[in-house]
Amino acid sequence: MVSRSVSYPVWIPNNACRIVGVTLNIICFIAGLGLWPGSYVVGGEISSLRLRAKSQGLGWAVGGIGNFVFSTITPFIYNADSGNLRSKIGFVWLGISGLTFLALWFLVPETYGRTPYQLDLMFEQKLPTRQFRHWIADNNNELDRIEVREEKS
Amino acid sequence: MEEGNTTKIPATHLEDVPSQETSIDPAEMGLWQNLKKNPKVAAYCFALTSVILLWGYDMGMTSNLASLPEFQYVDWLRRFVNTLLITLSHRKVYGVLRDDEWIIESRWMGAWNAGSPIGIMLGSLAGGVIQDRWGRRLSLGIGSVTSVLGVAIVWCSQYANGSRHGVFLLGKICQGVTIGIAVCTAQTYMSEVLPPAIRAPLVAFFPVFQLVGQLIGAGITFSAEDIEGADSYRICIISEYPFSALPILLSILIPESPIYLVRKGRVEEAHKQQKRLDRANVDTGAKIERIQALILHEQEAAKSDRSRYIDCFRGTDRRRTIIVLFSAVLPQLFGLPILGDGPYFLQIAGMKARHSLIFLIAGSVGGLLATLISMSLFTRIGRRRLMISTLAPVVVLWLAMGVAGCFDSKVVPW
Repeated sequence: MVSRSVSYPVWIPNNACRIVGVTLNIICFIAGLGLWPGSYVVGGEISSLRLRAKSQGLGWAVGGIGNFVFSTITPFIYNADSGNLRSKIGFVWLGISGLTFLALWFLVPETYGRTPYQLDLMFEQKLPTRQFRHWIADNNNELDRIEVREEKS
Repeated sequence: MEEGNTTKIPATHLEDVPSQETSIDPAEMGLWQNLKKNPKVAAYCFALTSVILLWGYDMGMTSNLASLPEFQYVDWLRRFVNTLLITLSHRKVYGVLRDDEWIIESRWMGAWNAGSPIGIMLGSLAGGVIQDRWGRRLSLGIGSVTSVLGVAIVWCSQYANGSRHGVFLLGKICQGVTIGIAVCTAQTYMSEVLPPAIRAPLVAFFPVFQLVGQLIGAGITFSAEDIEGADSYRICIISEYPFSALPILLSILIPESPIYLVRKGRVEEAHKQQKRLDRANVDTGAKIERIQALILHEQEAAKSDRSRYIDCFRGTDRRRTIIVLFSAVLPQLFGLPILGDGPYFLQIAGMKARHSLIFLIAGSVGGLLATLISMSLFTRIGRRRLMISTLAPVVVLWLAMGVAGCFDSKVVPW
């Protein structure tokens, strides 16, 4: 967040700025409700235990690349000395987030309440993404049947 | 467990995961209950997420450092004579004179913003290797040491008269390496050690602390604005030290991940560490057995124990790795960089600096609250469902903002 003064005089009614500011804040809030933390949660759960550390390494590395690409490009897009798109940058992100939505829809399965072993099985069976929610753990499988010795409270 | 064992032996395995991780619907119990069942694990992991503070603080710091007036001045006259204003001045110390205004050029801002991610990239790849070789704890420790190094380099950059930008960049990269190692380790550790019921909520703390870190960074720079002289940015640089100290402390105190120990064959130690993580009356032996069984299963399924980077792209794991990669870039994709640059944006549109910072703070607090709420949501609603239902409104909002931008040039009061 660079607080640079613009080098040429520009007058925009304050209300328009406020709307932009508020919109950004609302996006931040909604994203914080599910999308943002979700990306970390899913990232941690999806890989097999064996590859957990390496997957995290790769994940953060790629995240770093993404960060790098976006950080470098965005100043040039909306900056005074380059693209000067300003609020129209919303369209750019509309496109990007639209594509992201599609990717999310097709890629990310439901891992809620699943043990690592179940996840292993589901992936091994090459279950389609949307089926993850409905997959019933095979209760006759010995692996799921061992009694859990609960603690005495 | 080397290659050669190609038959899958099914039924002698035990259920893989520690006791609370059965197919019980986590929502049956609610967040608090779940936390109470696993107090020690929760506590350790909560402490670990504070490592993320460092990340947020660093992010907040760089961006805001550039806004400090004092960061801009020193020796501009001397440099003005040298027509290379471009490489040598600072927005005061690092900035450039353009049309009577001090700004830091796009390319250096871009370079500095890029330095961190580059460092994070290197750090996380390195972290992936270090974690598997020497353990999660040592990895965290190494990360902290690089942090101290990074801050030192940034500090020295103000004295490097010929190449301040370059040295600063080096320091940023070093900080980035730290963040890469530390955060990657933290996530691995937490995902291994936490039972699923509380895993999501605690991992959801990542963004929380990132925001808190940024807020603290913004707050400190905000107040440093009023300090005359070089001290203003010096204070900010020095203030990163406490955040580096924390991970060092943690790397000494936390138990090593039992899953890592079992994979290395150190079952005795795994037992001890698992005991440290559990409450007193839980059957630790059974847990260790389950971990062993699961690892055995995975090794057999993959026909090898090797977990090199290339293995992430073989067979079944390829799909899983792709999903992990996608979720890693997800924050970038929905606009996080723009949100961070919000105040700058608003200032270009004419808002005063003070006001725009208020928006930043409001936005961060909002994000913070949202993430806290999400902790509870994750216990009840599935990941996919939650993510999809939050992404949809965001897409619409970006549309709204783009449309608003079309009215930008008209002088029309709203």
